[in-house]
Amino acid sequence: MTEQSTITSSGSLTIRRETVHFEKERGVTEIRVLRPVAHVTVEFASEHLAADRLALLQALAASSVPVFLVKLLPNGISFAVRAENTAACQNLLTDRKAAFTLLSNLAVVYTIAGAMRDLSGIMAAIYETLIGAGVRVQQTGDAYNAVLCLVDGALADSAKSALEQRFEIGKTATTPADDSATLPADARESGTGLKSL
Amino acid sequence: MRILVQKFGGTSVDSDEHRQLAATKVIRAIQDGWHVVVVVSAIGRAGAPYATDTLVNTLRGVDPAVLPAPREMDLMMACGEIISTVVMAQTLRSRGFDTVALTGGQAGIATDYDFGNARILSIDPSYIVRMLEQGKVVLVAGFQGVTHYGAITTLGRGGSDTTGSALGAALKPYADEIAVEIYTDVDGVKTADPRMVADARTLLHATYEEVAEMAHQGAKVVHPRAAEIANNYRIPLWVKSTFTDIPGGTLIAASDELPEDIRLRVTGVTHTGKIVYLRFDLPTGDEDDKAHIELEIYRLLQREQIALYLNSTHGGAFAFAIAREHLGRVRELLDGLVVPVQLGGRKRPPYGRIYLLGVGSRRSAFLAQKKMLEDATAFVEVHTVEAEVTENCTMVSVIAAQFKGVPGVMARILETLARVNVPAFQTADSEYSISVLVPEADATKATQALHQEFGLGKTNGA
Repeated sequence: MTEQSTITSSGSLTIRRETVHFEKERGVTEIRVLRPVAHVTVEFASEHLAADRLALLQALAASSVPVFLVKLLPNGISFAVRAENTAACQNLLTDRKAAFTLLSNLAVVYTIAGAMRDLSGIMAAIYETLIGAGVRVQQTGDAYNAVLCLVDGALADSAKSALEQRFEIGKTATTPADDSATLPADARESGTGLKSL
Repeated sequence: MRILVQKFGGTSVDSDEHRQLAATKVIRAIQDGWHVVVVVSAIGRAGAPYATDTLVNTLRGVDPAVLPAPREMDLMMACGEIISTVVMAQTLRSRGFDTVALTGGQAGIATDYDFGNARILSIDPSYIVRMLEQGKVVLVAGFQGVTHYGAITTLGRGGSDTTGSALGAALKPYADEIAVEIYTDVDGVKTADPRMVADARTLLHATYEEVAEMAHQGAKVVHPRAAEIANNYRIPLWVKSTFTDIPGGTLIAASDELPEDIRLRVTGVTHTGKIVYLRFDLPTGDEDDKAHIELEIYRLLQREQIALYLNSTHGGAFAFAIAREHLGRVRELLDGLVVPVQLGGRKRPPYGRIYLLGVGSRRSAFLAQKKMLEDATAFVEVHTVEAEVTENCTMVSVIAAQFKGVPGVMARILETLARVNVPAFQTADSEYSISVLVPEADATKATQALHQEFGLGKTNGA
């Protein structure tokens, strides 16, 4: 609402009013999808688990393979890679004679929300919704403004729709034909997707 | 008209000496040609007579068995900022300046009805503008607003910072130049906690995203709500010290408004308090069952408003971290928890599966439930899942909001920690940061090593 300032003939002053909406509605504002990605699990047989994990991460870095959603497992390590890096990752692991499994055609579903730490139970709501939609979560992550869920790429649209419905944002959101439009803004700019580690 | 909003935190106004220092900042700005709006927090921290915690405890102390009404609690809490604002106005008046002290409502700040955590809906700054045009210094009580029907509300965490940013946004249309300064007891946003890292440097610039992620990962900087508003309205936001005369501070702005050379950088290293890591490994390895158990746990923790960190799931196992202060309650909630899973459509036993969780140190509930479930084994599968509890952890995070497309950061982090013999229990990463769960006893060593590894010290760059 805007009201301009004017001085009337009687000399009284009306200050213009600017009513500005400051804080976004709290809660989930958007669901985004990043795909395709692959999820890799590597198991180590040796007793030097920490050293093996580190050596693998160093080798991936040396081969310019960015990884994300890195998790340390009791007997190995798991991580995700973008589709364009999958072949390089697979070759590297094969060359190293690593025991690994690679699941391709996955997607990362981002639940974007303001003040994530102030929202108790967002994880429960996401899980409840995804289980209800028959979508299994392969891995999770979080940032100040998002919860990330790694899911089967074929179910990513179902996951997105279910989450949009759950958080009542489906009416305004559309599913773009081009996946690049669903990437985080910075991913769109760089073309690389998630931050590499 | 050049308008400057200066927000002073509790430690900046907790004594006459500090208020005089704050007043000097206001007076200097006026001398530099600014029209100044001062936002003030309550005086001091817990224990001080008019600090927010003291007021809350006074009200609760009337009868600990009866919770105060949220509306009355807000009315009580808002008094701290009102008192502080009037005292600060008088401090400036005593130094020869014409002042007007306003509550949040008088300043035109309208909020929703979420008492204790209200959201600013709109601001009508016309009265503030009129007072500024008359040459007055306007002082506004931070952390509060008013509902449509006149009830005083408080804004929750980061409330006074939010007031400062929001006033900056509301006053922008009336200003030829606008800026917001957040005054605190440090001279800006630091690359690490200076109590841990003597070499920690004050950042000259930071993006809104960096600051928000630093706060998310445990750093005590500007509240993300304030940064978000400043970001949305493109208001330059400064963090400065009340107690030093060193010029500068940290300018928080959108990345496209800051020098290009900061866009590819590691910003800082933070750490997040005392954490406990819980890992559950299902003996069945069934991933669908695991999802149901996870959901049940998350629902219970949601009900208790217990935040989770470092969620991880893999195969038949899942893990998450909680603040140590919640461990007792989490044990009460989860030890002995029975999660039934239907197998569906079976005409013969087992008709379903039951998972019994054990999380307690004494496992008393777990053992009692286990005994009770012995009779059920004729009809259902009973599986026990005992949590692996790793206590005395902390989370160390490398903030790298602008660090895209460069492989090897995780490797560098783990390599650095290994070099200083700090074990990494788990990692987590997102768009903006990489976090590692480490023993609490190693928090300082880990923070120092990572700070050095990424060249964040005073001797390294700007």
